Parts: sequence; C-alpha cells; structure tokens
Amino acid sequence: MTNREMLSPPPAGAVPKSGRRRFLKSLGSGVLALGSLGALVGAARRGPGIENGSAPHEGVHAAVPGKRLRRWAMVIDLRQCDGCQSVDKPPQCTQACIEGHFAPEPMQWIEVYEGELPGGGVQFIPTPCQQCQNPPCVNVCPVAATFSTPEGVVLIDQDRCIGCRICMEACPYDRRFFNWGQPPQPPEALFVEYDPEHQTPARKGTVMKCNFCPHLARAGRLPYCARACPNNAIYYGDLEEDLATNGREVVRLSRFLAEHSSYRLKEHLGTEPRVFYIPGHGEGVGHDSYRGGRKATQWPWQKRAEGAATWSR
Amino acid sequence: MNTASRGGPVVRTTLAGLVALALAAPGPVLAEPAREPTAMSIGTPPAAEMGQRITLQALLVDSYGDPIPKAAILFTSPSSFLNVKGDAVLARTATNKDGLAVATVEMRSQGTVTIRAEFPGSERYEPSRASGQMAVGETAQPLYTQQAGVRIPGLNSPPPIGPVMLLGETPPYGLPREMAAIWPNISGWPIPAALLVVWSLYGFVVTLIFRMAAAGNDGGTAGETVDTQDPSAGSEEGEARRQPPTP
Amino acid sequence: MVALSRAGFTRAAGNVPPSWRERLEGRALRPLATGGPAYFSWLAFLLAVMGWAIYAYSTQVDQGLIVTGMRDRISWGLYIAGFVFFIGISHAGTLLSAILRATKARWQMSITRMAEFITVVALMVGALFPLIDLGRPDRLLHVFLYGRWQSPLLWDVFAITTYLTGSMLYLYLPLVPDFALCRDRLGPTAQRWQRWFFRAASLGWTGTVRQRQALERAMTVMMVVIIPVAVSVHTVVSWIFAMTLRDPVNSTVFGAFFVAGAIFSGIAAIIILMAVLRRLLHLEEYITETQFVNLGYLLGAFTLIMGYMNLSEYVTTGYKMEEGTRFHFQQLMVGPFAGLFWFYIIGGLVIPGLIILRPRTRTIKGIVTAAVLVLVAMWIERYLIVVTGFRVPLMPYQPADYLPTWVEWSVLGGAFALFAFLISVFGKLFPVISVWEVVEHRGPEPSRSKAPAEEAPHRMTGTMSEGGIP
Repeated sequence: MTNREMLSPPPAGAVPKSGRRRFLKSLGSGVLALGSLGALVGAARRGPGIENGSAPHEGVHAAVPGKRLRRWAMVIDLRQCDGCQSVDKPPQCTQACIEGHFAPEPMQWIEVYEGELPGGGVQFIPTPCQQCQNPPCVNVCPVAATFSTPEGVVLIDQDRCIGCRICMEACPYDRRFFNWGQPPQPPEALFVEYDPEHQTPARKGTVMKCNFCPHLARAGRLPYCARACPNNAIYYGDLEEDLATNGREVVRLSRFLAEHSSYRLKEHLGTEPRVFYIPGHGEGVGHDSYRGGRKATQWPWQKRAEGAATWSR
Repeated sequence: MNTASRGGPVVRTTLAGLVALALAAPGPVLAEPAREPTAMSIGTPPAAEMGQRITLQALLVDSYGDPIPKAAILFTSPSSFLNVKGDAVLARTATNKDGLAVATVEMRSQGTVTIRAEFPGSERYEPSRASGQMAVGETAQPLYTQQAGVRIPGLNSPPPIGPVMLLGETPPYGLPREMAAIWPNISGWPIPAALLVVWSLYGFVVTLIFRMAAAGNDGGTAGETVDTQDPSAGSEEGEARRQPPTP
Repeated sequence: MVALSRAGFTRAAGNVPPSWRERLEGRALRPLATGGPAYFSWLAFLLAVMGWAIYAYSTQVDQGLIVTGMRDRISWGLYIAGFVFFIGISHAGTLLSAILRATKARWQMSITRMAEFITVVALMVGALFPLIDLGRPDRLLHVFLYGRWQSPLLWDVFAITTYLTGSMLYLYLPLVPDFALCRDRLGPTAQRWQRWFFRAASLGWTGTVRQRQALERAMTVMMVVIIPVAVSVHTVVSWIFAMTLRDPVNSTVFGAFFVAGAIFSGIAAIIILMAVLRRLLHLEEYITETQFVNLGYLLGAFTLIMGYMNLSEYVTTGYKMEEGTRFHFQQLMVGPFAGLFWFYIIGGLVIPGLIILRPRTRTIKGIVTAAVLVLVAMWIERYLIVVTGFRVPLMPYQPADYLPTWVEWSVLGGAFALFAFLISVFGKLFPVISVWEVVEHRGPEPSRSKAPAEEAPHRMTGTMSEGGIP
C-alpha cells in the first residue's frame, strides 16, 4: 500500500470494490450509520447548509482542498449550553454519542459536568475527550495502543490494548473508560469489522473514549454530539483552514476564539487540548444560572443488546 | 478597485421631494427621520499566497462623497465547511477620520475567495456593502503547527528500533501513529545504553562463574591446595591468621 | 570430620565438644537434611491458600476485572498496592548484601543469605501483580512486541527483570562454597537428587586460589552493579505514579520517597524473617542481639528519613493548598482514610522510632515488634498512595469509593502464601546462613558465644572431607 492509500481509508458507508468481508464491513458500517441516524432524527437540528448524502471532501483522507491535512478542533459555546433543560431531556450530545457509537453503560464519552460558578450557580460543561496535543495517555501507553493521528485525533487500538489502565491514571480529564466486564454488544456488531474509529464491537478488558468522529468529519458531516445539540453550542473546526461550524453558521476559528475570551480546561497542565470553551452559563438560551440539575443520562440502545455485564462508574 | 455605488443625483432628488411631502402632510410616513445613503468601496489585492497576511481596506463615504468616520465595518467571506455554508466574519473594525477601515487577515482557504465589507447602518446612515474577489494559491505546506513540547538538541531524539520493537510500529487499519512524549523523549540512547552496560556486566559475571567451574575441574592445580572448608585459606587474611603466633 | 547420620548430627570423634564452627555448620545444614511433618503440613497449608487464590483469579479471567472493586474512577487498587509493596521489600537484600558488604560491616554476614532470599522471592511475587492486574493478560506478548521506551510501565519491566537477574546471580555466587560444604558434609547421607544438586551447583568448588579470585571478583562486580540497579527499580516503580498529572502523586520527590520506603520495609522484613528462622532453626548463637540491634538502628534511622520525606511532601503541598491538595488532605487526614493514615504515621514511624530510641525497649522482642508495625504500616502506605491518589476528583463529580472484593483479598493472600512458600522451600534447598562467610569473618564476637575459645582452623589436604586428621 502506498503512503497515500494508507492515509485514506474508505469513508463510512461507501461501497467497496470487492471481497465478501469488505462488503459485510461496509454493510455493517452502513447499518451502524443508519441505526445512529434513526436515533438522531428526533434530536438533530439541521441548519440550512447540510445536504444529505453529500460527497466527502474529494475522497481524500481529511484533506483541506489544496492537500493540506486537516487538524480537527472543537469549540463549545457555554453561553448556549443549559444541560438540555430547555428541551427537558437528558443532554442530547451525550445521548447522540451513546446511540451513535453504542457506548456501553455507564460510559459517557462526552459528559456534561455541572460545575460550580463563583457566587453560586451552576455551569454545564460538555466535556468530550480533549484530544490533547501533548497527550498524557499516549505518552504512558506501554504498547502504543493509544496514539495520535496526524489530524490530531487521539485514538485507541482495542486490538492492541492490554488493559493495564495507566492511561486512565494519566488522563487529567476523566475521559477514558474501561470495559470491566464483557460489554453489551448491539446486534449490528455482528456485521461490523472492528476499526479504532468506530470502536465496535467493544472488547472486554480494553479502554474506550470519545474519538472526535473523524470518519464523520471526513464524510463532510458534524459529529453526533454537534449535530444533536438543540442549541448548536458545539462547533467543530479545522485549525488548518481556520474554519468551524456548529451546523448553523460558519466562523473563522482563530477569530471566534480570540473574540470570545475562549479558554481550555486545565491549561496549566500543558496538555494543549484541542477543545476550546467560550465562557458562559447558558444565558444565550435564557438559562438561569441558579437552576441546576439535568436529567440523568440513559443508554436506550442497551435494551436491544446481547445480555452482558454492566457496572457503575 | 471595484466600486459599486448607490446614491447619486436621482435618489437625492427623490429624498428631497419626500421630505417636502412629509412636512406638508404629517403622518406615519416619516415616523422615523430619513437616513442618509452611504457608499462603500473595498480594496483587496487581486491575488495572494496561502497563509499570507493581507490587508483589506474599506472606504465609507456619504452621498456627498465625504468620509464617514467611526463607522463599524464588518469584513466577511462566504465559506463552506462540513457542508455548512455561511458568511464567516474575518474582521470587525471601524473607519478612521478618513472613512477608511483597515484589517489584516490571513488567507487559509484556497481558490477564488470573495470578501465582503459591510456597514450595518446607524441612526444616521443607511447600510451599505461592497465585495471583492481574490485568488488564493495552493500550498502543500501546513500552516498550523503544534506548540507542544520543546526540542533540546542531543536529548530529544527520535526513537531507535529497540529490542522490544521487533515487529516495528506497523500501523494497522491504515491509520498512522504519532507517538508523543515530547520531553523527555527517553526513546533515544539513555535507556538502551544503561541496559547494555548492566547486562554486559552480568555476562562478565557469568564468565567468571564458568571460570570458577573450570578451575574446579582442574582439581586445583593452580596454587596450593587448601582446606575445602576453610575458604579463608585462599585469601591474604587467612594467610595472616594462619601464621602461628610468635611466642 | 565424621560422616553424619541421617537422623542427625553426631559429635566429633572423641570427647571433644563440637567446635563453634561445627555447631554452626550443623545448625545451618540441618534443615537440608531433615524434613518433618510440621514442615510439610506448613507447605500444604500454604498450597491450599495459593490454590484458593488461583481459583479467585480464574473467576477474574472468566468474567473480567468486574469481579474486583476497581472501577473507572479508581482503576488501580489492591493489586498495584501489592506490586509496590513486594518490590519495596526486595530492597532488603540489596541493602544488606551489597551496601553493608561493600562497607565491610562484619555483623551482617550471618543474615545476608536471608536478605538475599527475601529479595529474590519478593521480586518474583511482586512481578506477578501487574500481570494479575491486566485487563487482557492474553495479550501480554504485546509488551514485548510493541513496547515503547517512553512508557513508565516498560521501564518497570526492564528494571525488574534486570534486578531479578542480578539478585539471582548475587544469591547464587556466595552459595557456591556453601553448596560445596553441603556436598561434602551431607553428600554421603543425602538423597540422590540432593547429591546431584549439590554437586552440580557447587561447580566443583574446592577453595583453590583461582576459584577464590574468580568468586571475589564476581561478587565485587555484582555488589557494585546491584546498588544502582536496585535504586533504579523502585524509582521507576514510583514513576508510574509520578509521571501522571494526578495531584497527590504528581510529586518530584517520589523517586527518593519510594526508595527510602522500600529500604525501610525491607529492613523490617529482614528483621521478621531473622526472628522467625532464628527461633525455628536454633540459630541464636549466630544471629544474636547484635544483628537485631544494628538492624534496629537502621530501622530507626529510616523512620527519621521517612519522616523527613513525608514532611517534605505534606508541608510543601499543604502550604500552597492547590486545588487537589485540599481534597487530598481532607480525605487523608480527617476523612475516610484518617484511621489508616495516622496508623501509618504514628504506628509506622513514631512508635518504632521510639522503640529503637529507648535502650530499655531496644531488645530483640521490641525490635521485632517495631518491624511488624513498620511492615503493616508500609503496606497501608502503599494502599493509600494508590487509592487516595486516584480518588481526588478530576472534574466536578462526586468522589468515588473503592472497596476490595474477595477476589482481590484472596489473590493478595495467595501472594503472601507464595512468598512464605518460596522462602520455606529455599530454606530447605540452601543453607539459610552463609556459613563460609560467617566462618571467614568469625561472625559474632566470641565472647557472646558459649563455644570454647577460638582455635586454629583445621588444615586439611586433599579435596574430600573423609576423616581429616588435625
């Protein structure tokens, strides 16, 4: 395989050229995508710009038009996040991610924490994997099971992970999860060939986490969490082309970050995350900062799953 | 320099007529005072390289051609990202006393780029806008560089093939791996060198053990035969002790 | 020398009472020749405990780590605490065998062998724990196929392997002359496998000058090499914690802290093993109060060193009270772990220090009590480092709790049983006292022993030990 081919796996849902296994794999990926789409129909808000079934960006591995590699980043506008209190549901970003990736209970790959504000009041902080540029988890892994791609996404190869859990000790954001027992599998898992960008089927004794959905981004779509947010609070962007979108508007990423006093979590640790936050407490959607509490996260897909162990966090 | 102008003698006359009508016939027609028309023109270089910082200029004048100072100007560019189209804000600035607004922007998207300057209007003035086009060249050189870590010559070195990496870093699933540990990148020489030193010393000790065994098989031909159970006999100490005390 | 009967040792020919040396040899070699029902029932008990531990581990292999009390928020527990504890104890041998040997301290000659036993066995048992803790033990080979130099766990693998090899070499080298002694003394009456074993292991040792030189040179090399290796081992063990960003363990002094703690617990382990073997094998003459008192002084010195390290750690972090530190102090000193923590400080550092300090309590009994307190306290300290280190919340959530399950306790019990089992087996295969070294350096002062005054050693010709004539 040439270097270029190694850098460009087929996008999700594409029909492969030959081979029964590859056919099944694409079938499975397609089934995965369909299943997750179904779950998203109720929750997703589509902006005027999204077209269904659009072609991926020139079919090349996450390339900016012009052949530069993408460097994915995320901006979460906390002025628009109220923990989905306004829609009276569990946080939709978490729900969409759970459904889309079949995350076993109790994993919340993007988790909405309730932080305390000075002076009282709560702030909802959706926290995906921060996709650090100096990732402590990658640094300590003894077998290179967790690694960064050139796009900047930190992935886990669950075929290589030995389950030593030093990465979980090293992550300062509580964003890595372990399959303590045999995790529940969706029926679709039977058809899918494993790859680190889908993390399905989940394997017992290995670590999982948010992977920034690069397979969706390459196909020209927002990740599940960004699409599902009813207030369009999550922007997904590219540091290389310096653009970001939340599904409704497009912004120049550097400008957006500078003008809104953006910050990153635990900046002093030097992990250089790629997830930026714009300070706020949901005032953009009329949330009263003293009204705390959000609905508890659910794992609806697990009702369809093969019986397996469940555990608490 | 592209220009697109609104206003001119025709409109001006119409406005004057309306004002006269309003004064003559009071009513809701002129509930708000008429805003003066403005004219915007934008200046952009015709072409730029990728990543180059370019200067945008916008000139805002009123219907008399006088510059309008302290007017808020928005520079935008229609962009598309992940199949979402919209006007991305490039800069927000204000006109100076000459009616000129200047902004510096770094070009990041290649191809033909449209840049718009917009004046959203104020109490006194009507909104106006202008747009220009630029050709931005391609490049394969990445513009964004990670800032993590520090490189210290001689101490940060790329990983050698260590004895454990027998199969090498084969990236499965078509996904190349970039392993961090920027500092200390102890994959350089220190650990293999230390291990080599220690295990060579172990090897040396093992050869000494073999030498002991070989000397044993010789039956003690070298040197005097000594008491098996008196291991001090071979050492100087034992020798000293064995000298009978002089009376 | 006369041949020994199977049942025991007979006196030397004539009415001359056995010399001090003969008594030493008799006592040291006796366990190798005899084995009673008490010994075998002890082994059977240990095997039963280990069997139960294996059963508990099999449930873990079957169902996954869900059978333990660990969860996402506190993902290391008893297993890693046990790992650190046993690797820590292994520093006993290094300290006594290497450092004290290097400084030519005479009094430790009679206990170096036990110390080296502890080192080798503790390393073997300790190295098992990370394997038991793995979520995918079937993928163990990945560590060797895909290992990364940058990972603290891989530093552990290399350091422990290197130290274990070095310790085994260092255990074996001084055993060669003792195996020769066994071959000569017990050979005629020993079982066939023992005879073969002694002969093979003693490498034809006859005490010639060349053999002697080779042995001394080998031991000097090992002595010098093993000290930095041992220091590096517990330093890299500390770095699996200190290379992370967790507040309580994100400390630059962790390397020194852990090495000091390792030597501390190692000394305590030696004292306990010394007391046990001394009583069981009637070695009172050769392991006297001198050894206990000197080791007691070392233990006391290390209570001070450990106190200093704890002070460094808690005063510097406590003065600043960064975010995680506040929670950590709260949970450690006044919260759920207060009982354990203050037992460690008071029962593990203050009380043993006082016991050693006061001459009235500086007896064998007092020192052994201090050692037991220290060992228990150090185990607690390892547990606290692992569990409280993980418990500090990283994001706004309620802190989790950790309670080990029966599987983890069973495996820990099995590890202790394995430790005792291996020491018991070693004690039957090798003499627990390094006879030739004790003889060479005359061991404890003659005035303390009840033997008659020293006499010139027998001079013998030939290499066999048949009835030498003085």
